Amino acid sequence: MIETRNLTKRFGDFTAVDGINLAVQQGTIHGFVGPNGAGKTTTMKMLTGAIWCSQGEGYIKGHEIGSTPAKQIIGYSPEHAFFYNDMVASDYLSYMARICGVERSEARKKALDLLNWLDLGGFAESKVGGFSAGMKQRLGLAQALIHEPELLILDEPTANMDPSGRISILDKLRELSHESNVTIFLSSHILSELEQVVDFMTMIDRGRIVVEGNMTELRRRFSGNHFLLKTSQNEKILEVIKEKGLFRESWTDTEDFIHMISDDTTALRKVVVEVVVQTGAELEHFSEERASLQDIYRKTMSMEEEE
Amino acid sequence: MSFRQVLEKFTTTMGKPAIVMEQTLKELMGLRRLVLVIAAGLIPAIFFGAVVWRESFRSGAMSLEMQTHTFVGYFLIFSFIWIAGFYITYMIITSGMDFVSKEEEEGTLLLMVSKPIGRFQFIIGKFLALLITTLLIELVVLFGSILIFWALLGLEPESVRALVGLVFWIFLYSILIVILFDALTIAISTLFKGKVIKTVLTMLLVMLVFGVGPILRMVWPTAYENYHLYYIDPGYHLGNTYVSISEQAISGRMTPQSQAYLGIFTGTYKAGMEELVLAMFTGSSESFDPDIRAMPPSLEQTNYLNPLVSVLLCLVVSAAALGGAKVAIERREVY
Repeated sequence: MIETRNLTKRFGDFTAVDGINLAVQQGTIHGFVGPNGAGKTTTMKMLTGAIWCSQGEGYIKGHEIGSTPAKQIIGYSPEHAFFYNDMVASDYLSYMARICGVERSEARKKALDLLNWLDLGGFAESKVGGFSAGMKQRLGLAQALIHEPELLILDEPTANMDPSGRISILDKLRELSHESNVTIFLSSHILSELEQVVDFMTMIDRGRIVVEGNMTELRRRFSGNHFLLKTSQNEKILEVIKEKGLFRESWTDTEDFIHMISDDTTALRKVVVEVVVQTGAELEHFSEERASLQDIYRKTMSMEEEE
Repeated sequence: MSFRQVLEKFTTTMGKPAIVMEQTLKELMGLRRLVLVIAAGLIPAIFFGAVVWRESFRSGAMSLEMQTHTFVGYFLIFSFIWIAGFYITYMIITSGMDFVSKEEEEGTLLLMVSKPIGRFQFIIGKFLALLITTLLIELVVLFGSILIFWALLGLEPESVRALVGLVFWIFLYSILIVILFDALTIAISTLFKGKVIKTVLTMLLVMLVFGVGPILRMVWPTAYENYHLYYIDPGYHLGNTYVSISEQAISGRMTPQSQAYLGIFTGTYKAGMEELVLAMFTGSSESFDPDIRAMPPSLEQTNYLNPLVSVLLCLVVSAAALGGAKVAIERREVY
């Protein structure tokens, strides 16, 4: 859905985006994370055609970024969306719908449906100027969705919302992705929430991609071969496994979970099962601890710092 | 068919620029704004009707033919300088100067440029809205001024009919000046961001159009003709077009006083300081005689250029301004 090659943006001597190659697959929710000033918003603005790239190229479903056919596919909501404050919400959305090619008769219906869907139905005839920051954020999402785009580009879509508002928006994004097959490319600083919805993730720092991939792979890659085990006979089992030399580090936490860091994960899995069976212990929990998005972010950024 | 239905049909046919146009029209046609703008346009008519021309046209002061002839001349000058001159240019400048820059300052342009509408289509929508609004308001002010003159000066119905006969031709000329200033204002709004620079530029623009010609002709009369400076005098081109168009009206023949004013302001008639003083301080056209150093029955036209050339030049400048706006908006980075 999105493909960029060597996409670069320079502001004088400063390179904000440094030759990034993005690939966002159709129907996925793709997270775009990085510290402030990493180049996320600049990249998104290049994708939507608001600013031009200094070098490289980008395509939205085969159409050159910034072209009208590309924009027809995109629904974009910036981090700080500004609206015509004197217009009422339904008129504003109808106007945006018609700009996107929706018929006049259909535009108003769509506007009202979307406002209801985003819990703004009671404010359809209210002037946008009186909306709170959270309501404006929802309206920003509504205008992005008004023409049923195939691709949503959302810059911090939940930034100004309270926790329940954020959860509700993330649920709706999931619904859009699963039920309407909409591709969503979104940035957020709230990694714990982003983690709940994204299938793929690209992390950038100082304009360059530092990590990318699908979430399952990334979690595995950054997990550090960390296993959790809890049985009815923790001490005995830990002693047997230790004798076999299958982990380099272990400890037991306050909830009686044994943490093991192993270099030979396949052998460890096999041995744990055998030992549990041999000892006749009751297995309460055995899992490979996966890294959270926050872990991935922290590790990547610290590696970047070191470099 | 109602205005709304006409608008809907137009927007369907014209596509996206018409949608922007419709929205901008709604903003420009707000009732409060309309009342204020129209009232401002009618104030000079009240002033001239109640104060300046009251004595000249008092009941029985002149014959019906003379009243009609004289007032047609006055009205042509009044319309050229005020209604189709400073008034509409001021209206265009104040409404259109912030069209693009305000959207950028307030952040609304960011969402607009991410939508599937060409940036130039957006500009054209704004351009059309300003064009239509200005012309509609001008029409109201033209008829409103006639009504005010009728009421305040007690004009005879025949004189009023003659004035109404001029409206179409003045309106036709106005289309040209509205296109020209609309395009220039949109270009300034697109090319420049700072309020101060935009204000200075638009003031310079108005001075260039209405002020440079008279000064040049006054200070350097021979050079104006010898070096063909009329080619670069926008006031001449507008006057040349206005005279040509108003002559099409049956009632549009100007009195020598009116010709003298136009000659001074636009260079379309051979008129200097002497003619201007005479025009300002003498009475009706019927008493003028060149042998006694008074106004002749009709002043000689300068005919520097064919009026079509003037129209064409105005349209070329408008197209160039819109072209500049197109390049600027398409290269603009919106944050």
